[in-house]
Amino acid sequence: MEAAIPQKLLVVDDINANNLLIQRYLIFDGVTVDAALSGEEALDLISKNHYCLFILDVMMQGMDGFDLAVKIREDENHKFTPIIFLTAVYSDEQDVFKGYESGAIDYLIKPVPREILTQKVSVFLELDKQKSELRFQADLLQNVNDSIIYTDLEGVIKYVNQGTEYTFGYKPADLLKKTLSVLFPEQHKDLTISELLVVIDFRPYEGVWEGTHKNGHLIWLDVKINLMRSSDGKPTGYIVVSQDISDREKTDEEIIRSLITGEDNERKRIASDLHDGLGQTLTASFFNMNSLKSEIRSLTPEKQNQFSSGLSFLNEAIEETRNIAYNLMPKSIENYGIIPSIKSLLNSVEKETDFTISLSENIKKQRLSPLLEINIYRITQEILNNAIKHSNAERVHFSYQLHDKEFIFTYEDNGVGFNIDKVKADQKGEGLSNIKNRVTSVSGYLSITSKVGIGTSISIEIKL
Amino acid sequence: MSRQVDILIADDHKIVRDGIVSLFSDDPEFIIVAEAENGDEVLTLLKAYSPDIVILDISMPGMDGIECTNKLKQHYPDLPVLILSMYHEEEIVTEVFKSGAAGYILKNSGKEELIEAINSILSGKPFYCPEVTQTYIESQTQPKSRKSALQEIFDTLSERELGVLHLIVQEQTNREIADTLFISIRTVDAHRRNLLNKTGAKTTAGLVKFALSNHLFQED
Repeated sequence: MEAAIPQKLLVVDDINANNLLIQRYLIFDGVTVDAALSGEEALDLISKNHYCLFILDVMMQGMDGFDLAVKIREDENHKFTPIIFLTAVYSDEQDVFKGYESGAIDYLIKPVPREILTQKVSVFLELDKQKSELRFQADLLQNVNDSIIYTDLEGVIKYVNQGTEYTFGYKPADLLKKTLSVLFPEQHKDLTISELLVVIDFRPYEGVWEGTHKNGHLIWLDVKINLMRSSDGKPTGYIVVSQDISDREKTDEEIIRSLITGEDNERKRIASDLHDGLGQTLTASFFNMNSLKSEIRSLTPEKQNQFSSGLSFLNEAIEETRNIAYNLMPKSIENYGIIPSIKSLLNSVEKETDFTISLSENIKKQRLSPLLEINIYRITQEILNNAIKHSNAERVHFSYQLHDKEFIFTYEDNGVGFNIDKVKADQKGEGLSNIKNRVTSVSGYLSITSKVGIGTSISIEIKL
Repeated sequence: MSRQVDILIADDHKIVRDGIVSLFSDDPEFIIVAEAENGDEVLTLLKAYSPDIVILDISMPGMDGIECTNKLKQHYPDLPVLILSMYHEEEIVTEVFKSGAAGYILKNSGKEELIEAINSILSGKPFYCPEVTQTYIESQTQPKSRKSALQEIFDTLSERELGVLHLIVQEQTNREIADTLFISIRTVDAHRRNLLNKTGAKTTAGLVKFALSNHLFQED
């Protein structure tokens, strides 16, 4: 990047001819050379301009070069600006100023050969140019709203930009020397950045993470992590760039939630239509037909048979209607909560399949929000369906654990497993995406691991 | 035996009530003396009628069949209740058993079964149809033997959680455990938090202490 920042330098000598001479020597592109005839005049210019280099004659009437230098150093904008002193003779005088600082100070003996002066000055100008570029980049880092953090290899924070306060609420001083785990929820403290990095084999990482704002709120972050290396290629630390995407995530969540809730409401409506309409009509016909039972003895055996099969068809129709309505929207979730409904579901699947199903839960009869209950139930159903269709497992395990502030669901089977990437690539994972959408709609975090030949394991974490 | 049985029926669908009435139309000993649309109406009608038995649907708007049975057991302890429902899900069956209903048959039971149920109940014997009985037995067959507190904690741990605990005891990091078990780090962490919750340990170190002090995973 080329920062096209014009550079200015100031020459101060009480003999105007000397100033003019230097101005003639120093002709660089984009560089202005101002001149002053006294310390006072110089200070006036300094207060109005930003100079990247001073060339000061030491021997001046009134305020000499060293006095001026002291004053220059008092100016906020020129505290570190390099100064070249021009002295008539080499003497110990220069030690006077040496005491103040090292670097950014040089001494040239008059008369100064043109080449030496231009060479020196061009070095200082180049240094200044590099500095302004760095400053420009630092400004960029400071002014983006994304959080940019540099940590050492242990995850200890070494640099924090202003955007971090915007994203996480912490001031740089709050974070320096702390570890990166401050920014992630309590329960993920063990997942240190280095662990994450090793997992991704030192490839840049990009993913969506939950973070903790200083005010305790959870935020969704788009996190990019890159390994930094020194010039000899040794890893030195990590650059972690986090962008707050909570609003975007929230909108996505709301859309998915309203879609899913709409779908659930529709199912509920159809279920109750089936139950209250078709189901009741069938039941009534069944009772009415049943009342004729005593009369049928007068019919021929063939007609009696027809009547009986008609009656048993009707019976099957009632049972089927009941099952369809129940599967569409189990009434028991609303009435008795999630665990009894899941138990029924698992029991009926266990009867129909070769699975050995185990269940672990600590919810008992506690009620969760209706949205959560129906979604947990549907996720369970979806996982079961997938397991029945594809897993070929002998054992499946479902766990529903209610913690203080979160709900954790885990599933494991010892089936044939599957290649998640392949399923995604083939766009076959309808079940998977249903699960993902339901998890999203309750702001949960889904993790699916499957290994061909080993089995599948799913965990879902939902904040309460 | 030609005694008369007075019946009060409650179902929110008239068409079903009519069906029940038609079912008994050829049996003069069974008289439907009153019909209600929900539990509240049952209680009101009982101020005017004294039926021998009440036949209740479960799902009704307002007071449902189970709540109504509970109320009847309070106020008319001698009046038997027969539940006539489409459902026989475990949780519903359990509720009905708790409510003290004398019988429970499904709506797709035949006329014979319905009459058998009424007669059985009136002679003092509860009547539950086979599907309902089956469901109830299954719901009760979870082992309930007394166990030590440790054994109970141990029992709630899944195979996978025990596996994770074992690896934690072996001082493996989340990442190593994830690699060993072919699961994601996030899932390992979920298991770890479940373990904390179940064992009551506060930290991972506490988990290790729990495992060691209870002599889990000792090899010899």
